Amino acid sequence: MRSGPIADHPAEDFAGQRRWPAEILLFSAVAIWMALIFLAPYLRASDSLWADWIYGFFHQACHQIPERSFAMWGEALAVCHRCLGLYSGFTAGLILLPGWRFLSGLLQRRPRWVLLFFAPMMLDVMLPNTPASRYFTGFVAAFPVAYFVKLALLQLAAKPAQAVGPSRPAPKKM
Amino acid sequence: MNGKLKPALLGGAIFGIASGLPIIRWLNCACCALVAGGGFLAAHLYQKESPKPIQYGDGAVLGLLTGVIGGLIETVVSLPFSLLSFAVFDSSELQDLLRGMDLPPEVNEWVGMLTAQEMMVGSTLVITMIWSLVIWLIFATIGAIIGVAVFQKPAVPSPGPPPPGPPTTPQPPMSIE
Repeated sequence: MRSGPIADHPAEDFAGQRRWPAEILLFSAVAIWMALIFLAPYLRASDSLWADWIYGFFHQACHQIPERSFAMWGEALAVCHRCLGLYSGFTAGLILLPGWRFLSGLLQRRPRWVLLFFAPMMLDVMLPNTPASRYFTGFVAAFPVAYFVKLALLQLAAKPAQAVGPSRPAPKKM
Repeated sequence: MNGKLKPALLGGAIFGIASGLPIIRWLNCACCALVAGGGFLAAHLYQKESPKPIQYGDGAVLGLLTGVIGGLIETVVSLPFSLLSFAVFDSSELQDLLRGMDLPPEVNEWVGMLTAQEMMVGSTLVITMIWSLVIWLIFATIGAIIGVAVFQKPAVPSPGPPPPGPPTTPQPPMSIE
């Protein structure tokens, strides 16, 4: 095992009353984030002033070049192809990884392998690329990151209740 | 803070200064590469100083701290550049220049719009800073969590039970007679 008692267990093993609020918080934040990306072009097409606020928010993390962004309602999304791939990959990782035990188990045993998932994106940045390659390499890069972010949140949520480790059944009284 | 302040300061200072400088700051357009890099670096430094493997939860707290420190440093570094870029053009000078000229109403309207935009500069700067801080907190945290995954030390195996030794009461040698 590579690390301490909490990290020795996959994220799915965490239980207790603090797990669900933490998961709901994470899922809600990700859902709002993704919704804002798609809401921005709709609002801009509707001439709403809120569109500028959303585009301004995402501009802190993305160049938002229209030629490098997917478009909806005749307007570019709030983020570029690669950023959309990263955020979509993160969302997919949050949803799918708990069911993919082989991958979450692999990440648990060999967390450094997360860098391997970034390799295609790094190559794509250096080579001639297409919208599809930018999107999919971003998707692959962020997919496993969701596992570690969820684990970090569950560890933080578990800390006040229990010093370390997932909840275990109490010993039976004789 | 359990020794988190020093790595957070260093990681935050490096990404804060780099993000505040013109041209270099554009690296943040690649999904906040500088900011995530700051969190990543802070996790490396924290693990280097810590004798035991750090947890992902610790990495998240470290990333948040790095984001706050880096955001404050970036604000200080970038403020002169931001103000300078707004000060290069002064619409009141343009208004003085155009006063008395017989100009079409569209031009006067355009100059009026510029003046209104200048008044919005202060509030825009504040809003941009708040947005930047929110984004940086998120990306520095993710960078630090990835850093924990990459740099986490292997746990020292706990000493198990001692190997079984020779029996305390020696048995008499087996006789074949």
